[in-house]
Amino acid sequence: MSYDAMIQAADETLLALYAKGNPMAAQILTTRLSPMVFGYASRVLGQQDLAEDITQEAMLRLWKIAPKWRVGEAKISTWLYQVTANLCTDQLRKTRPMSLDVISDVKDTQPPVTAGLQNAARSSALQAALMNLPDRQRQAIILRHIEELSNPEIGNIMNISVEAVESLTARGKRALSVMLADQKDALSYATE
Amino acid sequence: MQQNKKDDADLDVFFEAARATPYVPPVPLVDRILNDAASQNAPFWHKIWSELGGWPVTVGLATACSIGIVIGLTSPMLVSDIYMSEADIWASDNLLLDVSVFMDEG
Repeated sequence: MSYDAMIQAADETLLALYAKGNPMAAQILTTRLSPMVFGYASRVLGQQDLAEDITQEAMLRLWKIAPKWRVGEAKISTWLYQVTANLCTDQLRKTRPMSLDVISDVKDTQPPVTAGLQNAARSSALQAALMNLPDRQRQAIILRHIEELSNPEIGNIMNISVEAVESLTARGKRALSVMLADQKDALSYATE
Repeated sequence: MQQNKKDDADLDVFFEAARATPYVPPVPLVDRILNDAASQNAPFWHKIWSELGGWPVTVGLATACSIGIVIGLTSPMLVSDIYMSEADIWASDNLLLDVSVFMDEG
């Protein structure tokens, strides 16, 4: 398969090619999937070094399962979110209670300013507020409103019912609204 | 209800900002992921070899084998030059005894 065709190929096709020894398939899958895993882990954990370790581990599990992957059974992205969610939950259990140093580091682990100062400041404020939510609410909010997954997909990833997802996101949003109420106007200084 | 809709609209501004500032995996992390991918796809014997320590262990083992062969091929006299034989030890004891006898007699 040519490089152009591989760029267009589905994740499952690329994983099958990787399992047959195609290194280009691994490169394309890494480019496509690692930002998704890294972004999710960074937002859930609030610490870049931990998010890097989780991303490497989640991708390693993908490489290991490649020869046994059954086509059509699950979406690779959903499976990866599930693995990442479990790894993050384990990590959060290990590091609890979060120290004050970690909370103060939250702003330092924000994404680089690539979409303007206003977006960066709002994203930073949201991340700080997210870190004050209970873990499950934070995971559900990130999957629903930042990763833009459907409620059934989130239920599948978090191993809970759709109703439980709705409840978690509703409670999370209420808490976020209170935490961010003062900041919306303060952060509307650029283009609005 | 109205308040909920307003809260949602207010939060959407923050969610949009978060989506617009994606996290980018650092280059060393991408390198580590690709290294893992390459090592997982390596032949079976290569995986075992890597698990056992890879090149450092292979070089150490080769060096130890070479030294063993050199020692094995070298003349055994070399060893006997370094260590005294049992007969030599007896001889040295007798010599000490003889000296003490002379000293006792004045």
